[in-house]
Amino acid sequence: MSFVPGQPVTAVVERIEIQKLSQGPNLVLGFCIGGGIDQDPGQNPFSDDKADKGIYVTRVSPGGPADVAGLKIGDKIMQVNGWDMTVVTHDQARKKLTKKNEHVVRLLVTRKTLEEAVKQSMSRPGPS
Amino acid sequence: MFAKVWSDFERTVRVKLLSFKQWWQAAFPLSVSNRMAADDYNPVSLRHKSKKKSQRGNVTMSRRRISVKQLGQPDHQGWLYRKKESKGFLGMKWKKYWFVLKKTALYWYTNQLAEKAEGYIDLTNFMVDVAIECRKKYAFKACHPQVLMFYFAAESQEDMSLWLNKLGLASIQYEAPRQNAATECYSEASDHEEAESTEIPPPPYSEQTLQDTVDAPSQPGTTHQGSLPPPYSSTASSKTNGSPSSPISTMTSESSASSVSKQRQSWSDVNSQSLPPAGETAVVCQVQVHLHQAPQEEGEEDDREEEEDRPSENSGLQNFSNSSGPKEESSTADQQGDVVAAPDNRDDGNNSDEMEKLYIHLKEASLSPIGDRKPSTKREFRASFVKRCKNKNINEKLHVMRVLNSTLKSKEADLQAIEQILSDTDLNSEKFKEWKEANAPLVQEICIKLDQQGASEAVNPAASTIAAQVVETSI
Repeated sequence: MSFVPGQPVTAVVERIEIQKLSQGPNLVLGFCIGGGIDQDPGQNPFSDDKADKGIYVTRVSPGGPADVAGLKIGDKIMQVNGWDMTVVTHDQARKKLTKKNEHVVRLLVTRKTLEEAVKQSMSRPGPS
Repeated sequence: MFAKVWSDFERTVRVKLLSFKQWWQAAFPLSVSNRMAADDYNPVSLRHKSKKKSQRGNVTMSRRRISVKQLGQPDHQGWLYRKKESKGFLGMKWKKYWFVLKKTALYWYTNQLAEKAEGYIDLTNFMVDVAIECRKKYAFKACHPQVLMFYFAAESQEDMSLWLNKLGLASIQYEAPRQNAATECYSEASDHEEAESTEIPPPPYSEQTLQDTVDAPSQPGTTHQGSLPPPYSSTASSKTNGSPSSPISTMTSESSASSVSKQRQSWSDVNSQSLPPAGETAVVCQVQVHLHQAPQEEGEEDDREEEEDRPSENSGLQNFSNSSGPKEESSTADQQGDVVAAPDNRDDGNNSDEMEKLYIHLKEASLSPIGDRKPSTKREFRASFVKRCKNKNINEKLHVMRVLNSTLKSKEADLQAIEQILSDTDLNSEKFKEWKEANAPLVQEICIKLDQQGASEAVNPAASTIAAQVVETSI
């Protein structure tokens, strides 16, 4: 999750597909987001780079659709259904996630553990 | 498409008619024939092209019988107030009229569409100046020895400066007829400031010598609104030698300073070695001027050249050029005016009047003969005020400088206070407390400053808890 200004952002991502849950008139995903380019990045407890203005998962309601799909607290959402989430305002992110006529959202998320896992597997000597 | 064709045609016809009209007026100066009703600002009248063929050849007819339309292309026009003193009635009424200036004739109408001018004056040999005596804002006057005084007032600073320019030019049209071509050329430039000034300066500037500038002041120097002298257009000798020659310009009159003429102030340093005083004076003048020059290329060249010149000058004048730096621009204008006078002296003998020149410059820079700063006299304030009124830029800059000066003074006072407490060798908490109480506002300021500095690192979290709450949306 390192961000080098001027360079394309690269990250190890996980695909997560969340099936929205109907709760009465609403479609619920079961998690909370924080962050956005209009927000204060210094307050984000999950980001390594305190200048990172991306969208982060701040809560996951246990047993909810997000939890079931494998979303973890502290994940940074990179894409939602193909829409970029790295340079959006908080409200734009919310809108992309809560489209009324979409029942499934496919997210690309990244987290530190993923990167480390990949690094480890790369450094580990492969089968000869 | 047709409209464009028509408007092109319209324009060409109008131009032709205008030139004809001017020829006609030149040929018959007393007639007020205006055959065309060309009218730029009133589009409606474009359609009826002088159906009124009024009997304009009649000289005895009142000159006021000209409708606004018939004046054609004016030199300037706009709304102005005119002071009207009703005799017997103790009052000064300012009445608003639509003024149209055409060459040296100033007409005024009750409105733009009036058929007959309410008033008319011929501005030749009038003195146009700012009217400080009037209570009315942006007031100026036109006076003539034989004719009574006319008071006008504009609606804004810009308008006033514009009108002063224009009226002043009108008044000198007949004072110096042979300069007409050149002065008009520069009068336009001086009104359309940056735009045209970039066009006109480069050619004459590159080839000027000090000799030409000596000629300049010999021209009738009574021009009130400093239009630039003809030597520009008629460069005699051109000494473009290798030495950096910054462009020359001089003011014919010392009192007026349109912003462009200020921008063009500079001295040729062709003979800088042989004329050290002149060079130094050039330095002194330049300090002011090029700070305010529009980004023209010669301006930039000047700045560069000035940088070279300045360190090379090491005389007693150096310190006063520094001290005159923060001085108001009026002194620049005065200096430049006096420098204009200086070349006259130079004619006699280059180094013979150094002392005199030095004295003059010191006086103009408001310094006493030993180099201290003398307080400005009332006369200087008035002169400065006059210049300020004519030029909004100077005015603004002057205000900025004054503000800065007073800020500086107050900061220095603060510094004194701090110094007082710091230099106290046996300071104790009592004394400090007393001092803090005595200088409470200062202490507050200091605290705020410190807070601001630490804000970037430490204060941020605190600030953000107040300002930007963490926004979490549950979805």
